[in-house]
Amino acid sequence: MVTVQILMNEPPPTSEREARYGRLRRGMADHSLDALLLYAAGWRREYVRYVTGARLRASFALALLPLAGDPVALVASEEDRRAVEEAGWVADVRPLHPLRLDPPRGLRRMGVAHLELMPEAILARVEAELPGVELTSATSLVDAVQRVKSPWELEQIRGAARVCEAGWEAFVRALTPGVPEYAVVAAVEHELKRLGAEDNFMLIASGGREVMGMTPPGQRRLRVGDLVRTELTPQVNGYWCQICRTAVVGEPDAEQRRSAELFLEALEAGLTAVRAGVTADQVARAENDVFRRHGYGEYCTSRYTRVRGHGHGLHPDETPAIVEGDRTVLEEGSVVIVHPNTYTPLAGYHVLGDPVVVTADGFEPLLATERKLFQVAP
Amino acid sequence: MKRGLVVLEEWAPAELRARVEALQQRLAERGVEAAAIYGDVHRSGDLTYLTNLCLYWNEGLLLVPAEGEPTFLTKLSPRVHPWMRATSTVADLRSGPDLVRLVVEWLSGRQPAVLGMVERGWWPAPLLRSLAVALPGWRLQDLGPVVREARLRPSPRELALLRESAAVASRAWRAGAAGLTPAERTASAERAARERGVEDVLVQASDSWLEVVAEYRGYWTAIAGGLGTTPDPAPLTAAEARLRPGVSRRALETDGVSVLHHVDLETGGDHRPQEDRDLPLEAGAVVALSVGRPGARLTHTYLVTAGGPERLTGSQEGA
Repeated sequence: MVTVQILMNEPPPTSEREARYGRLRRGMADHSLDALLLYAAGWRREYVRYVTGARLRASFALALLPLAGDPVALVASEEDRRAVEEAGWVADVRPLHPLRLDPPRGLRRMGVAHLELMPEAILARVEAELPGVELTSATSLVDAVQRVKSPWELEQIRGAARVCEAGWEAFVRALTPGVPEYAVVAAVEHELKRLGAEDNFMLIASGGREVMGMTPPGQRRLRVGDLVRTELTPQVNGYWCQICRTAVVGEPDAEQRRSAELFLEALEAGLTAVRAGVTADQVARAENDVFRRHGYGEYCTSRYTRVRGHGHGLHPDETPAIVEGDRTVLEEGSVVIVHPNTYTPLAGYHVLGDPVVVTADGFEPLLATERKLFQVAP
Repeated sequence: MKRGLVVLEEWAPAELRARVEALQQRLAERGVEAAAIYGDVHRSGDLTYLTNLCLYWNEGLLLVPAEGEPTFLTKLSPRVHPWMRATSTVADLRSGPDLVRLVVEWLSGRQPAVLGMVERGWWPAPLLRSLAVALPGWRLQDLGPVVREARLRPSPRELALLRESAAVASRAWRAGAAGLTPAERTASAERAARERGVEDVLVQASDSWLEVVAEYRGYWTAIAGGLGTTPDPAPLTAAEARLRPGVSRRALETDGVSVLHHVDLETGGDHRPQEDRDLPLEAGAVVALSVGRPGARLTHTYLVTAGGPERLTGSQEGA
C-alpha cells in the first residue's frame, strides 16, 4: 500500500516567479507583444495562477504582465484578493469591477491568454480601457511556456503522483459486487481529499464489451465479470496528475486478458518513443501501430477515442495532444501522460496510462503503480 | 468538478418539457426564432434546468427553437451522446470543435430572423463575434437572464429537491465537522455528500470552520459555520427576521450579510445581475444568507414564505 504524507498547499517560492516572468517575457518579445493579459475563467484558472502563484476561486480574474514593470492582478472577490496578497507575487491587486488597467506607457500590442473564453462583458471593458491597442490571442504562447516545468513544478507533480497512486488503491478497495459507481467515486474522493488534493477530475465506466467510453458515474451496480475503468486526476498544490487503469471484478476472461496485453503493449510502445526532441505525432503513432499490427487500427480513430495522451500541469489537459498529426516537439522537463485508451471489441473500452517527465534520453516515470489488469476478488 | 451521480428522474421529462415550453412561449411572444444558451463546466445551471444535461467538461450550447425540440451542441466527443441521451431530455446532440460552425449548420434552411442570446454578456466574446459574422441577416438579440428568472421560482418538485439538497449538505457538514484536521474534514464531508448522490460538492475547511455547497439533482444549497468558536450569529439572526416576501437583497445586505439565490450558488453569485439587488424576493424563493468573511462565515439556506423564513439547512446542533 502506498504511504503518502498529507500534502500541504504551499505558495511557490519567489525564485519561481522570476523564472516564469522571464520565460513569459521572452515569449512576449518573440511575438512582438508589449504586455500579456491573462484571463481566468472558472474552469480555466491556470494562466493566472502561473503568474500570481495564487489559488483563486471566483468565476473571473485577470493578470496583466507588462514586458517591463510590475504585474497587476484584477480579482472579483475579497477572498481572491487575499489569496493573491498571501501568495506575495503581485503587490498591485485591484478589483475587476470597475476595471482599471492603467496600461503601461507605449502599449501598442497586447497578447490575451484565454481570449477565446473571455466574456463579452469583460472584453468590451478591456477594449474601452485600451483604445488603439491591438489585442491578439496569446493562448498558444502561454501554453508553450507552461509546457516545460521547473524543478519546483516537477516536485509538485511528483507529489500529485503519490496521491494518484493512493487514489487508485482506494478505487480498487471500493470495487465490490453490488456497489454503485457513484459510491466508488465517493470512496476515491475521500482518500484524495484526505491526502490534501484541492480537486479531482475523474471519469468511470463499469460493465462489459458494450462500454464505449467513460463518463461521470451512474447508479449501475458492479457485477462479477465487470471491467471497471477510470481515469482519476487529483490536483495537488495546483498541479494535476493522471492515472488510467482498469480492474476486473472476479477472474478475467480470455478476451479481457487479451485486451490487457494489447493495451500494455501499446502503452509501452508509446513510452519507448518518448524523449526530448520527438513529436507528439511520433508517440501517438507508436501506440497506434501496435493496434494496427494486431488488426485493431480502426479503433484508433476519433469514432472510438479522443487522444493517445496529453500534457498536464496547472491544467489537467494541457498541450500537446498526443495524436497523429500533432507536430509539437516534446521538450525536456515537460510532463505528458501516454494513454492508448480506446474501445475494442475484445473487452469494450479499456484504459491504461502513465504520466511521465520527458528527459533528454527518455522519460522519468511518475507512477509506481503496476501496469496491469487489476483483479478484485468478488 | 462534476464527477458525482447524474440521474434523470422518472418524473423529470414531463416537467422539463413544460419548462422548455414556457421558454418557447416567451420566445414566440418576443418574435425570436430560437434561444441560444451558453454553458461550460463551471456554469451550466440553465442547461440542467431545461434538459437535465450535465456538462461535466468543456463548453456547449443549448439551442431552443420557438417551435420544436432543443438541440445541444458540444465540444465533447459523439461517444458521450448515448450517455447524454440517457441522462437528459435532449435527443438531438451534435459534436464538433467549432461551435460557430455547428450553429450555422443548425440554422441552415431557416430564414434569417432573431436569434436570442441568453445573458449575452457572459458569452465568450470571440464566439459571439464570430457568430455575428457567420450569420449575415440574423439579429443576435440579448434575452437577458430569461432562464434564470424562471429558476428563481421553484416548482413543488424543485422545492422537494432543494430540501433534499439541503439535507445532504447538512449531513455532509456534520460528517465533516467530526474530522480532526482540515483535510480530514474536507474528505469526510465530500464522501458523505457523494455517497448521497450529489453531482458536485464544494467543500472548504480550516482549523475552525467548514463550508459545504452541494448540488443535488441540479439544485444547490449551502451551509457554513464555525467549529467550536462560532462566528457571531447576531447579524444573521437579524437578517433572518427580515427575510420575508417583498424584501430586497439590498435591504437584507447590511452588517456584513450577503444573500444568494440558490441558482447563483453554482458560481458564488459572480454572474448575478446587479439590478437583481433591488428586486423583491418572492414567496417560494430559496436563498442562502451568509454573514462574515470567507473562511469564517456563517451560512444557511432558507425558503422564503409569507409566514417567515424556513431554514432548510442545519439544526440547532449543526452549524
